[in-house]
Order: sequence, then structure tokens, then C-alpha cells
Amino acid sequence: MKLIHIADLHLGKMLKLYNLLQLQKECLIQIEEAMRQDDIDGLIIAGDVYDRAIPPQEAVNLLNAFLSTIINDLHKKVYMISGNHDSSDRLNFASSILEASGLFIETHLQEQIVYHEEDDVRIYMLPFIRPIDIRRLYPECPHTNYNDAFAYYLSKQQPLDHNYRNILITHQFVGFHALTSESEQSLSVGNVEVIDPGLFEDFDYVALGHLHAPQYVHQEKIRYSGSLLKYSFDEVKQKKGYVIIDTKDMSFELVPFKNSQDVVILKDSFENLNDPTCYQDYRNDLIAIELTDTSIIPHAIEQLRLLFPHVLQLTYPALMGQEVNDIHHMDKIRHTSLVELYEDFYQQSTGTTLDEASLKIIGELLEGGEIDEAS
Amino acid sequence: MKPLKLEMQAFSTYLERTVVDFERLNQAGLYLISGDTGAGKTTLFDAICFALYGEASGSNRSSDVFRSEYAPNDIPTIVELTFMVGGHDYFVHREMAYYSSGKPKPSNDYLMVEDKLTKGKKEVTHAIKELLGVDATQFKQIVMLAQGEFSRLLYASSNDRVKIFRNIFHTKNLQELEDKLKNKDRELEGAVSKKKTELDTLLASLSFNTQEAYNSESLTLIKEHLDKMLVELSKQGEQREKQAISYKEKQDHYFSLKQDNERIDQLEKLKKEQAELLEHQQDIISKSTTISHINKALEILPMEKECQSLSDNVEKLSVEEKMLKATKAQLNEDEKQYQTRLIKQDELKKQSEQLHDTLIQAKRAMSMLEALKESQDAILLHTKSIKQLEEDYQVLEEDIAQKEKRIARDNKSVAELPDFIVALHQNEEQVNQYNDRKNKIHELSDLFDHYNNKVENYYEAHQLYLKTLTSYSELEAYLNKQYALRMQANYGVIAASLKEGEPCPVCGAIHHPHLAKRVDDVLSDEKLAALEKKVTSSKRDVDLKFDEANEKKNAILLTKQEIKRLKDELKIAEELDKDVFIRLLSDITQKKDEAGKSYQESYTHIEYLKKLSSSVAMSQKVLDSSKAKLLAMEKKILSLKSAIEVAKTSIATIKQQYPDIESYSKEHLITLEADYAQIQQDIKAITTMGEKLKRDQAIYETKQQANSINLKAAKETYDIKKQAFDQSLNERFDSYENYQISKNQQDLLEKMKQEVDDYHMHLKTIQKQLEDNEKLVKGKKKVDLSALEKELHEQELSNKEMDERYYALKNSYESANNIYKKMIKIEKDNARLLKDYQLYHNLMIATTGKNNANKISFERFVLASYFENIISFANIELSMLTSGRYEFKRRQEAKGNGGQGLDLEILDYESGTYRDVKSLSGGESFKASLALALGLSTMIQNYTGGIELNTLFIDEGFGTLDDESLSQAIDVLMKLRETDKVIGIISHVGELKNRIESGIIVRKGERGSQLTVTA
Repeated sequence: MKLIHIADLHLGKMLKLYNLLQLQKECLIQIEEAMRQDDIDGLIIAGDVYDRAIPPQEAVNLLNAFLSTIINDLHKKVYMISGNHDSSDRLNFASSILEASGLFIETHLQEQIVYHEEDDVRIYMLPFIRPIDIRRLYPECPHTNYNDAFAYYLSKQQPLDHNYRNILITHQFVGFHALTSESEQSLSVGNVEVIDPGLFEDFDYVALGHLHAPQYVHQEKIRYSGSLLKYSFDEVKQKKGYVIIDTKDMSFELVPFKNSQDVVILKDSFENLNDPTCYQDYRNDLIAIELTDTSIIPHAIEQLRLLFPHVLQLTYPALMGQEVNDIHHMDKIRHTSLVELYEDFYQQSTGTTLDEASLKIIGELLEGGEIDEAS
Repeated sequence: MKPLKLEMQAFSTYLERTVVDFERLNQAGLYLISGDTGAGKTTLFDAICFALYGEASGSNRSSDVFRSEYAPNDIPTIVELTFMVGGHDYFVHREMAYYSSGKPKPSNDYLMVEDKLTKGKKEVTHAIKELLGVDATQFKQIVMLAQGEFSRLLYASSNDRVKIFRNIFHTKNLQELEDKLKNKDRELEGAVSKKKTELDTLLASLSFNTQEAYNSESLTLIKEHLDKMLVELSKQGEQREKQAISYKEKQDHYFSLKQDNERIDQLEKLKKEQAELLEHQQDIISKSTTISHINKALEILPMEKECQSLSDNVEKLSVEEKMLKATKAQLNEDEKQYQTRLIKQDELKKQSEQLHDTLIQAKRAMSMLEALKESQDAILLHTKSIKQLEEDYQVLEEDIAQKEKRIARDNKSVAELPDFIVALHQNEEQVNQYNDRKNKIHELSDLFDHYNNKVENYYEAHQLYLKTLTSYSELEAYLNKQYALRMQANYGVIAASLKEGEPCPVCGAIHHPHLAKRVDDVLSDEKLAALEKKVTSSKRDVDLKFDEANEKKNAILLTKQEIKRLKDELKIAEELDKDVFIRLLSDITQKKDEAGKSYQESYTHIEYLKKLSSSVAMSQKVLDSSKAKLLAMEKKILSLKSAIEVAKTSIATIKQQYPDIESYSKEHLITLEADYAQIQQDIKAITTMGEKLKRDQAIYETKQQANSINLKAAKETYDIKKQAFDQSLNERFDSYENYQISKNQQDLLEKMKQEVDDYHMHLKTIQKQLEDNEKLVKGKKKVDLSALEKELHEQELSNKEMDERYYALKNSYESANNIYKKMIKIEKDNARLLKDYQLYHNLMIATTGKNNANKISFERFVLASYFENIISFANIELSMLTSGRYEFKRRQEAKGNGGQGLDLEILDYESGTYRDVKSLSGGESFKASLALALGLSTMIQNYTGGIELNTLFIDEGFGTLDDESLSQAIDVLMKLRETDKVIGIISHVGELKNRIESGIIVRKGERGSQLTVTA
């Protein structure tokens, strides 16, 4: 059978106060088309369906329309798990009723991973979980980091039957050298969430969600489909798309999304950017502007918005390095004695140097304070 | 400062003792306090603030509000906080002062540092301020971003910021420097002006002064004038001297003339005196003779006195002798009287003896009387007792008889017991037997059922076997058919390829009249093989089924045997059937029940008998004790009777001894005793009298002897002395009267002596003086000095005048000179002062920032650098929170008159302009405040020694952020977990609950709030 693998929809997400719902809709329509035309049997959604635990109405409506097209009109199956952005309880609504129609939702951890069998394929669904969830189920598990807790949990599972194609859907941070993006929420502090991809060796394919960059981890069969759209400006170079899996020979095909608006970064001087003849292609895109000028241009953003209506962000990378100097300056102050400090101050405020007699007076008066430095 | 444990009681909404353990939360680094509105989230912050400083966290809440309304009056409001600063643990306990039924209860606050205890509300607050380095206001501004007030630090003016930073960065000494300079400047200015006024006054005081005020010329002018004065002065001086000398000469001359005049007068006077004295000479001579007489009398005066005393003594002794004689006569009289009394004494002695005997007897009789009375009483008492005891004895006897009867009866019943027990055992055995039989019948019934089942099973198995066998045979037949077909097919194939005339491989015939037909529906090889497999498996099946059926048959046989056995055991002859079983069972059950019943009856009866036997035993004991009591009573009666007898006998004896004992009474005894005492007294009186008499006599004897001896001696001495005196008198005086006269004049002796001596001396001196003066005055005469006198006098006056003038001038010169010297000195001092003043003034203006365009003082300059640093740190956070759009900047130019240097501006990169902090929206200003607070606290942590404020509390404010901002804010806060900071957030925003695992959940119940810590 053939399956489409997508993840990290983040329906309803705003990029710097710009609503991305339309663009998300475009992507979903492309998926619908692919399912209709390419004889796809099922759809895998590997988590982060919504952007928030309580999503906006229009996002819910979009998902509703999308799923009903696939289930009611196309009669295909959908396998969906919850991610760290979703609310497990809310997404689980009516899941047992919907199973009969072919929409399979898993949002809670079970003792044995739930799987659905279809011909010779078994699809295992493991939603996003934290080590605390594993420990609630198995109180004797001593591990608190994601990797060890996961290994423990997997060890408690029934062994896989290799007469079937075993596909795992899960939503975690897998792979030590995986590419991350700004738009992902960190799950913990200090990288305790990283899971060793070797734990999933046994499966024929692992459909991952959570990281937004499309990539495979360690092996081609352990794969992130990537998010629908570019959700932060450090993703502009990533090529977003979906994965088609054929279980006959476990082959993959990567199909890119086509969107009416792209997310780009334009880095140039204000002069060039303000020139109507330059950068015409990007007129309508969602832009983050990096001005290379070394001094601040007043009302830069307003002027540029006349040419590019969707300028979301404006920064001056050249001016960012100044803070370092200030900190050095502070160190200097800390190690200067009060009297020297006073000389500097005097010089600065009157423009003349301090004479001997005055210096002596200052020194005497500060005598009591000389011992603790200016700290 | 990290809180470790917080305990609250009766504090705002926390009625019961509530404990919050911060240890795990601190480890988590970032925790969320969530709960419904009014549950008590901000109260936790209030509690911490209150524990540390005795104040609320926000300015809108005052401390009085904290007492819990639910709390009854006797439960105090207590907050206790254990916290860690600089590696040490501290414990502070605070109570709220409140009114309990009208009486104010004082608050009892204390702080414990290891062993040291600080008590008292203000002391504790002060100690904590020292420890943390910040006071309550600063603490709130740095550590707590309270609800609605987080923007305080952001919006604060430069001055307010200065105050906060001053404490944190210890720049107090810089402020002191400023103050010192200001003071010094003021001081010096005052001194300088004072000196100036001094100079002015001094100038004015100079009489010759012409200037209005003091200036640089003044001194030179003064000097000129002074010099002039000096010259004048010396001139006058010379003149004066000259005059003085001439005056002196004249004066000497005048005096010598005057002296001569005086001498002449003197001489005349002396002469007059001498003549006067000589007139008195006669008088003086007579006085001298009188003096010599008096001296003589004084010589013999003592002797006269002695004689007088001796004669007095003699007189005295004679009087004494006369008295002694009178005493003797008295003594004789007394002796006579004593003798008569002596006789009487003997009589009295006899009487007393008689009385004594009577007395003794009377006493004895009294004691006997008492004994008699006692015995009579005893008799009465005993008689009564005996009566009572006899009655009791009767009753007890009857009782005993009754009991004995009853016991005999019971014993009879008990004797039957053993028989009953035997009967019971028999019953029991019977019941058991019946039970046994019943069980066996049940067993048999079961077996019967099993047997029936098995028979059925066997039948079924057998049928199945038959069926399988048939199908197998069919299959086999089919298979054979197929083999045959195959063969035929082969033949068909061969046949097909046969051509006429060719030999057939099978039979060799050349002609083929009947060719084998091709068979088409032949099973393929595979299908054939499959069929073969099926047949074999079918055969296997058949065999299996056959074995199964057999097994079942065997089982049936076994069961049948078993049934037969049991039937024999139970002695059942008839054929087995359901009805048979029912009949058997009901039979046996009935029998069993009957046996059971009779068993039960026997058992109860036996129990009853057992109880009876034990009660009998007890009754027996009681009976025995009663009998014993009876015996005792008898004995007692007897003893009482004998006592009565004894008493009667004693009464008789007494009456025998004292027949009239009744007559004796106490009064009689008393009178007897009184008489006896009286007689004894009289006897004694007489004896004493005799003794006294003897004593007096002895005394008289001794006195008499002494007196006579003394008298004789005294007389002799007196005669001798009188003779001597008379002799001396005659030697000196003519008669005794002369002696008397002289004696009386002895008072005047001294006076007269003095007069005589004076006179002689006076005379001598005058004579000498006379001689001297005559020598000096030889040839001189008196002169008239009046004209000379007048001259002298005039000159004296002019001298005086000149002197006055001179001295006046001298004085004014000297005073002016002094003033001049003073002025010079003051001028010198002032110059120095002026120089100093200029220096300090300059420094002061520079340090306090009054002169420069920026109006920045030194302290602000230093603080501004710190502020820059805080801003740098804050900018790191702010750029993360606003995706690089905003940046803090310190305002450089001055604006207005107030001190500057610490004003804050926001640089908006998007518009490229500077904006006032106040122009930010609610959410943006929250972000800015948060960034600033974080920057400040990072700065404090890195740079200040001593102040450790690595805790931050944020009370609400997240509700003003949109989703993206909220996510950014959370990311920023989560990053801070990597540093040593602990951040506590109060919020009801749902999204935070998803992202932050640890926290405190506060619930409001009916009786106050409860909280749970999740980590």
C-alpha cells in the first residue's frame, strides 16, 4: 500500500502577526489532490496538528474540512497522533467513534503500542510522551531522560512480527545531529530530550514529527517529513514537502509543496531595497529584512512596506555587536580606583585636567572609601 | 536569596498551617503558581515579603489586611520563612500584632542565624536589610514584579533609580564625597566672608579712619598715620621729662625747710610732758609699799587653809560616835522580841505535822472512789451486750439448719451425672454414622451421572469415527480413479502421437484400431500431489478418531465397575435411578436429624447438672463458715459474763476498805491543803526574823571600833598644824587684822605693779628724746613756707595736664597699632582661605554636576556606567523577547533641571526612531520591564559583592501577551534556568501550564486555601 507522511501542521500559527492559515490550506489541498490521483491508501500525520492546546476556530474548521474530504469523499484511512503543541485530551475527542470510519487517533500512552493492521502492513502509533508519562505507567522505570525512558518502554513491547511491514509513527526529538529550527519549542533544558535513532532499528519505516526541517536521521527509513510551511526565518532555505511511502518495496518519494507566498530573507542596504526595480519577484512574499547599513534609518520599515506589503521584521545585523564593548567597559570601571575614576569624570565633564592640589583633596576625602573599590 | 521553606498560619486566605517546600521548585529553576482568581496566589509573595520586611508585596496592600478573617481570636497570624543567602540558612519568624478581645497582643518577631537570635520587629527588619543589602522598597523593585506594578522600575525617574542603584552598587561613599565637598565649600565661604567683616569692623573702629570699607590700600594708610603718631609721641615725651626734673628740685628744697620747722615744735612739746610726770611721783612711791605687804600675806595663806580643814574632820567624827550609840539601844530591844516569837514557832510545827497526815489519807480515798464508779459502769455495759449476742445466736442457728437441708437435696441430683454422659457419647456416634452414609450416597449419585455422560460421549465419538471412515474411503476411491485417469491420459497422449504403422510403446501393436482417448480433465501434477496429501491426512484422521472412541469405551467400563463397588458397600440392591437416590437420601436425612435432636437434649441437661455441682460445693463452704461464726458467738457471751463477776467483786473490796467513802469530796480536800500551807508560812517568817537580827548586830560592832580610832588621830594632827600657823603670822604681821586687810587686797596687786613700771619707763624715754632734739635744732629758727607751697602746687597741676595728654596719645597709638597688627594677620589668613575656597568650590561644582551641560554628578557618572551595563544585559533579553525590534538606550542629553544621566529610552529598529518608554503598549511594556528586571538581576549577580538576589517573582502580566510573545517570553525564562536563577511565575494563562511542569496549585476551599506542590 502507499502512504503519505506529513507532520507539524501547526494549523492556526501566526508568523509575526501574519496569519498563515491560507498558505496551510493550499498545502492541504495539494495533499488531497495527491491522495486522489496517485492511488494513495492512507495518510500519516505525525503530530503537532495544531499550534496551541486550544486552537483558533478557523484552524479547527480547516482540519475538519480536510479530514472529511479524505475520509468521506476519498474513503482513505488517516493515522494521526498528537504532538507537544497539541492538547492530548482535546485531540482525542470521539477517537473511538471515528475509528469505524477509518480515522485513527492516538494521543495517550498505552502499555503496548497500539497498531492497526492493513493487509501486510502494521502501523504503530506512538503519540508525543514525556518520561514522566512512561514512569506513570511503569513506576519501576528509573530513568528521567528521554532516551533511557524510551529504551525502557520499547523493551517492554511485544517483539515485532517481521511477516508484516512495521511502520512507526512518533513525535520526538530523534538524532543527535538533527537540524533544528527556531520555531520548534524546546522540550527541556540542556538536550535531555534527544533520543538515539538506533532504538528504532527494528521498524521498516519511522514517520517522525517535531523537527521542522525535512531530513532523515542516521538512516533513510527514519525520517522527518518536515513542517508544512517555513515557520521561522531560519527555515527559509529548507524545501518543504511531503513523503510518499510504498510498502511494497519500502521506497520513498519526496514531493515539494507549491505555495502562492514564500518566506524569504532579504539582506541588502536600504538604498537597494528601496529601489523599485530590485527584488521584484519577492513583492508579495513574507519578508524579513536585514539592513546592512551601519546607522539606523529612520522610518525604514514604513518605507519598505510601500514596496513590500508583507515585511514582517527589520533588523540591523551590523549594529548587533556593540554590547560586547560595553561589558568590557564595565570591567574596566570595576578595576579602576575611585580617584582615577574621578579624574576621568572631571576630564569629561569640565574638559580640563585636575590639578595637583585638588587631586590631593579628593584623595583625602575618598580615603575612607578607597578600600572597597567601585564594585 | 532563595526561599527554602515557607510556613503560614491564619495569613490572609490560608487559615490552617500551610507549608510550602521550595527545595524541589528551586531545583526545577522555573515554576508556575496557578489557581483560580482569589485563591491566594499573590498571597504567597505577600507572605515572603512580610516575612522578610514586615510589609506587603504591592503598594496597594497594607500589612493590616493580612490577618485572616476566618481565624478565631486565639490563633495568631504567623509567617515563618527559611531562606538561604550566601550559603547559610536563616530562619525568620514573624507574628502579626492584633487585638484579641480588646487586649492588644504584641508581635513576637525573631530571626535565627545558626545560634544567634535577634528579637523584635524593627531589629529583625534591620538585620534582614543588612543581610540582603536592600530595603523593602528596593527588594520589591528588583526581586518582585508585582501585579500591575512591574513597570515601576521602567518608568522610574532618574532620581528614583539613583536611590535604588546607590544601595546596590555601594556608591554611598560617592554621595558622601559630594556632601563633604558641599559642606567644605559652604564652610570656607562662610569663613572668608567672616574674615572680611572682621576687617571691616576693625577698620571702622579706628578713629582716624576715613574709608568706608576695607580694601587693599587701607593697610598702608593706617601705617602712615601710625608713624605720624609715633613721632608726636616721642616729642611730648621729652618735654615731660624736662619738666619733671625741675619740679623735683623745688620739692626737695621745700621739704628740708619743712622738716626743720617741725623739729622745733617737737622740742617744746617734750619739755611740757616731762614736767607733768614729775608731779605724779609721790603717788607712785606709796603704791610700791602696799605691794610689798600684799606679797607677804600671800605667803602664809595656804597654812591657814590647812588648819581649817583639819578641824572640820574632827567635828565629823564626833557626830558619828553619837549615832552609833543610838543604834546599839535599838538592837537590844529587837533581841527581846525575837525570843518570845521563837517559842510560838514550836507550837506551830506540831500542828503542821498533824494536818499533813490527814491530807494524805484524804487523797487516797479520792482515788478509790473513782475506781468504784468505773466498775459500776462496766457492769451495766456488759449486761446489754450479752442480751444482743444471744438474739443473734438464735437467728444464725435457724439459718444453718435450712442450708443443710438444701445441700442434701442437690447432691442427690448431681449423682446422676455420669449416666447422662455415657448416653451422650452413644448419640454422637450414631449421628456420625448417619453422616457417613449420606456422603457415600452422594458419591454414588455423582458417579452415576458421570457414567451416563460418558456413554453419550462414546456414542458421539463412535459416530464421528464412522463418518471419517466413509469420507476417507470416498477420497481413496477418488484418488484411485484419478490414478486410472492419469494412466489413461498417458495412454491418450501416447495414442495421440501414434501414427498408423508405428509400433505402440506399450503393447507393440502396429495397428491401432481403438486409440485411447485423450482425457483432458486430468488433474495437474501439483493437484494430484495435493490430493495424495489429503488422502494420507484423511487416513491419519480416521485412525485418530478410532483411538478416541476406544478410549471413551474403556472409560465407561471403569466407571461401571466403580458404581458396582459402591452399591455393595451401601447395601443397595435395587437398580439405580433418580428416584432411588431421592428416597435413600431423604431417609437418611430424617434419621440423622432425629439423632441430632436427642443429642442436643442430653447435652443441655448435662451442662445443667455440672453447674449445679459447682454451686453445691460453694454452698457447702458458706455453711461451714456460718457454723464457725456460731461457735465464736458462744465464746464471747461467756467471756462477758465472767467480766461482770470481776467488776462486782472489786466494788465489794473497796466498800470494805472505805465504808464512808461516799462522804469524801473534792472541796474538803482543798480546804485541808490551804490550812496546811498557811501554817508552813508562819513558821518560815519567824526564822527569817532571827537571822536578820544577828546580822545587824555584827555590823554595829565593826563600825564602832573603826570610828573611835579615827577620832583620836584627827585631833592630834590638828593641834600641831595650828601651832605652826600662828608662828608664821607673828613673824610677818603685827596683828591678825593687818594680815586680814592685806589678804583682802590681793586683787589689786597686778594693777598697781603695772602702773609703777609704766611711769618709770615713760620718764626715761622723754628724757632721751629731749636730748636728741636739742642737738639737731641748735641755732635754727622757724620759717614761713606758704609762698613756696603755692608755687609747688601750680607746677604740680601743669605737670598733671601734660601727663594726661601724653598718656592719651600713647594709648590711642597702641590700640591703633594692635588693630593694625590684627588686620595684617587676618589679611594673611584670608588670602590662604580664599585660595582653598576656590579649590573646593571648583571641585564641588564639578562633582555635583552643576556646571557641565549634562548636569551629571560624579555619583551619577559612575552609576551611569553601571546602568549602561544593566542595559546591555537587558538588551540581550529584550532582543529575544521582541525578535530584535526594540533596544534600550540611555538618554545622553539633559532635559530639564533635575539630575540626569539615568534616563531610559527605547530604540525601535523598525521605525528607526527613539521612543519614550511610556509610549509602549501594555504587552510591550511588560516585556521591557521583564527584560530590565532580568538585566538588573544578572548585573547584580555578576558584579556586586554581597548582594545575592538570584530569585525573581513575576506576578501576572503574561495575560497581556499574544501567543508568539508568550512563547518567546517562556523561551527566555527557560533559558535562564541554566544560570543559578530561580524564577517563580504567578499566572492563570493556560498555555503556561502546558509548558512549565513544576509549580504550586492553589485551591480555595470553604475554610481557606490549600495548596499542593507538584514537581
